[in-house]
Amino acid sequence: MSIHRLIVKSAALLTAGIAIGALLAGAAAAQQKLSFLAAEYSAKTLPFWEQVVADFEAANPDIDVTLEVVGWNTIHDLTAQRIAAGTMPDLVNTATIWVPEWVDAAAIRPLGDDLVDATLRADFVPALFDKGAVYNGENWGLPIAAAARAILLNKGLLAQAGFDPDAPIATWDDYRSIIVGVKEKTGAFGYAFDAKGVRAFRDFGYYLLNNGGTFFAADGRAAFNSPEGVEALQFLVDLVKAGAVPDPLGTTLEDYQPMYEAGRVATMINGNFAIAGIKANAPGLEIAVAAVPVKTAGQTPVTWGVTDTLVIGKAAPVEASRKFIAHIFSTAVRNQFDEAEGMLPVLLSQAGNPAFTGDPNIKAFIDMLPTSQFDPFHPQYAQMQELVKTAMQSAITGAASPKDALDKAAADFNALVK
Amino acid sequence: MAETPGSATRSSGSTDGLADTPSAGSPRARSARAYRRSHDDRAAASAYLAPAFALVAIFICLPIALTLWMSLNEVDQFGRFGGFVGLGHYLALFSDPQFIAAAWRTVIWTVSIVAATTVIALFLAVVLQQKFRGRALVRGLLLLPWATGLVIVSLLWRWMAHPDFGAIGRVVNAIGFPALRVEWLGNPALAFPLMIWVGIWASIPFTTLVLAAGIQSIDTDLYEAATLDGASQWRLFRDITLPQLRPVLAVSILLNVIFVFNSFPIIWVMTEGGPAGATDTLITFLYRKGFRFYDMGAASATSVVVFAILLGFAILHTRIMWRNVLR
Repeated sequence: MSIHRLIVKSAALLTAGIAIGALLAGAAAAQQKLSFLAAEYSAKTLPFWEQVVADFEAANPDIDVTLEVVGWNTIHDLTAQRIAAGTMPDLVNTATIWVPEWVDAAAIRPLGDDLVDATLRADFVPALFDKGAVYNGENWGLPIAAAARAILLNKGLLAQAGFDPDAPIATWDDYRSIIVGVKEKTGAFGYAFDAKGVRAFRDFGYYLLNNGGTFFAADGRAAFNSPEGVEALQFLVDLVKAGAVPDPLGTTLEDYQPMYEAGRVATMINGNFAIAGIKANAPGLEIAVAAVPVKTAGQTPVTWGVTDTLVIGKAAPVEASRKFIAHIFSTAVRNQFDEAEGMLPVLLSQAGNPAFTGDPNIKAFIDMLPTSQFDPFHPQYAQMQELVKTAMQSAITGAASPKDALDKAAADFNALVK
Repeated sequence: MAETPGSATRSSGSTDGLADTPSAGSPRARSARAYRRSHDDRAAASAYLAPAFALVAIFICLPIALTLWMSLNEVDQFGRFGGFVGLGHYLALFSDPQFIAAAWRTVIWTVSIVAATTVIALFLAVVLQQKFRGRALVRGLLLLPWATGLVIVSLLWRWMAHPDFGAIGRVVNAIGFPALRVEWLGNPALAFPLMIWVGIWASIPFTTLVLAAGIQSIDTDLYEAATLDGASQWRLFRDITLPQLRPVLAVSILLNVIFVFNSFPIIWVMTEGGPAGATDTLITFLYRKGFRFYDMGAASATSVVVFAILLGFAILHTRIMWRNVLR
């Protein structure tokens, strides 16, 4: 082959290559990218989102969604690291309590009409949408999962101990007599709570809230060391001293839920989402649901409601985000998600779903929603969780009295509040 | 080694400084060539080493420098600097009783695990040199804990320690305490020794392997000669194996101290340093500062202290052990 022909052929190949490259680049430019970081609720979460994303991409071939599903234990730190690296995903399924952190880091944008149209907005359960992610006067996201917490009772064990499992539990004294009575009469623990894991503060909080207490004062400083808080912690310490609960210092929810399923624990406080798993692992176990009792009759009962929120990154492409939000908040997709994960409905249009109304246990949770109180917002919420857990541990080991332990935690917390 | 220009000149002894243009074979010309050659060698060596130096600078020196700088500042979880605080984090650390307690606990943790591991592994390494039926199987089994990730190992032990479903409880019940229910992880007086045992259990395979390799490299003539002289097994071990193993022991102790001191998964998975920080070591204390309280400045200060302690130990250990070895 002559040099001349070689040059001509090479030039032709180069031109063709450039043309193909340009075409591919053009196609890529036309394709919008959207990244979505989802939290893993159960083994069903990943296949669920993969299917939802596949359906969405089939209907919207111009949008390419990058899906990541990570566990709850890592998603907070992963999100913070992404923010620090300037690579915040466009959409993040986050715990609502962390919203202030992402707002203060200027990583997310407020919800606007450009992202959620009026019809969808009107379809959200008002209590979840209006209170859910409102911080500093702005709404920062959409409620993507809702749950409430209540006592799950093992009906068989309660009946065996001579208690009516379907009767409401009115006060702490009533609950204490059930817990201690079950232990004495059946040998099973009457109750189990967690003073070790990330949810430990909730096991204290159920009693703090149902004694008229709060975690934070209006000025953002600690209020969990109030007399109501001290009484709440004393209640838990007394149960440990009575030997009616497995040692909460060595027990997390992951440890005692199997004990509940095995009939070794008669009651625990958990979310509606736990019921599906319990039924699968212990099909013969009959569950009853009861609201967490107040300390003394006449106090206002509080059901601790918890939501997770879909937040939108500051640099998220508006049009692709709007379409994806409309897709994942359609009634069909929401029903699918809530049924798979055992969550409560977030849309009014889900109300007719028999999965919610037909199951008496789930219905019991829904009926408690009017008394629900959601997590308060605080930029140092995570630090509060850790300090309250440490205070619980100090009081249970006897290293400090409940009052001294909570006072120390409050002093440490107030030093962090700016 | 290339001669230095100075030594070449001195060794020639005939340079009078009058010859302005030295001939090719003259001592001065030879010296110039040697200088050029050594210069070229250095340039080549620098070029070859540059990528390695660059990697060390980027991935080791830079992070150390950044950590030092962060420890002198307020830094939040997003890496935002909130102001220079000088030695504030260090002063706060050394006046924090939790930090001091965690530091002492780290010493107990490290010394117990490394000492027990070394003794047990030395015994096993000597035993594994003997010929017996099933030796290959024992060697294989010995490596199992090492082949399993530390997080998995810790999770397994955590489940084994479960008071209702755990294997440890079953064993306790079977050996004459049928009604005993022990909360292994809720009580620091039980949890910490149990975790030390898990640390020993997980460290034995590596140490045994290193020591067994060391024993195999000892000249067998020494044993034969000593045996002919009537030395007992104990004398063989004390006067041949142990002294000959000293360099290997030095390395295994140094590595184990660094591994065990920095060990995180066992304690974090089993107790998270609790209850109320009663099983915290410096590493779990550091993690909590960084990833529970999101105070990256204080966490950096803690990691600088840990780094200084380990660096100090490494220098001291290396000096003492290698001085003895070289002697």
